[in-house]
Amino acid sequence: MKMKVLSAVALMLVMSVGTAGAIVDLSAGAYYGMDIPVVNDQATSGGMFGLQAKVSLLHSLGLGVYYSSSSLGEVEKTFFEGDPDEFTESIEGGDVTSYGLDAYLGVMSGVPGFKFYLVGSVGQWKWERDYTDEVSEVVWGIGPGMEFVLPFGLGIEGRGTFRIAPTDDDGSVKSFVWFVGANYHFGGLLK
Amino acid sequence: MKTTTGIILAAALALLMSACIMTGQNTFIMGIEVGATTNTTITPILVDLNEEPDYADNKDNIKSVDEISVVAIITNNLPAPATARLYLSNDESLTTVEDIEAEATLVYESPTIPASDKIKIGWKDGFKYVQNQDAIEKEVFGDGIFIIYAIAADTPFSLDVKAEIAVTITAGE
Repeated sequence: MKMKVLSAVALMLVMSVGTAGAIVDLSAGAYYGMDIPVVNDQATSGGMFGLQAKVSLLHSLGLGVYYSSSSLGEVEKTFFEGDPDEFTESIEGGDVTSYGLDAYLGVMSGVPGFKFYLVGSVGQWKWERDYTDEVSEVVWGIGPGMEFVLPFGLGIEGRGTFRIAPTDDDGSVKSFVWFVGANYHFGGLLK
Repeated sequence: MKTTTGIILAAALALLMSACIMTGQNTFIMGIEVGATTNTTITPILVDLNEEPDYADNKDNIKSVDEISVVAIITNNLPAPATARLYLSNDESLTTVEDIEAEATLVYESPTIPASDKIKIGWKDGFKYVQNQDAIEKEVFGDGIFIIYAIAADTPFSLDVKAEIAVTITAGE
């Protein structure tokens, strides 16, 4: 089911690129930020890095692909509280990897200046901890972002995204991620 | 292009507004006060999860039981190695090792405790010694009240068992 959803979206992406006729801008870059679990009692915030590439086929619409990897922070609990045997133990939050597709609404060209956009994403999300089974789900995300593109094609980007991975039991794993990154704009192709 | 962008954005927005974002996680820790147990003196231990506010407050809206670990400090009082076992039941009338093994569900088996020695199983290690997690989950989704029996894999045995169960649940509307 998860793979069918991702395959369908990927197919739409390929068809979109194939029928658009002109690429306004093509860019690729890397970023670093934080992955902040939301109402999650199994992990705390941790650093995140990622890679992305974007293609803008119209000035206000774009599509992209991303890969991100987070190392979540420890959680701590105290046991036998008030007892002579009381102790506190921390367990690691684990590693999260995600890859998928981004859809952008907003100014996406590589023309120098500030660009603001709204991004929605869908991807595959995997959470691994060494003491329990891994969790793998489809993840959705949405949030705003901005990029300042310099005259020589380098863009400095900042983004905040709310991510949610619905689980099979009507629950979900949620996080807020933010990052700052740099993209290189290759400019338009096939104009 | 417009269609693809619209579909992804609309789906992400729809998910934001859906019910599944209104859930949150809690980990509650509940004591299992066994104390001394021998093959001739086995006491049923009542566990009432409702005494723990994080459980009681969310009891009617639990979506999933995400993780269960049992933390324990176990002393083996006999000069032979022992393996402690915790059994879950809703019947508090079981009094013998044979009855417990036949009627109750094994939910925890410790590593071997050396003769006349004591071991501590922490939170992280405690995940792997939980057995038949479904039986515990059923009680969490149920009334939260059950009986625990502490025995050993072999008789005779004499153990002092101090344990706590750490349960992570997802609850919400």
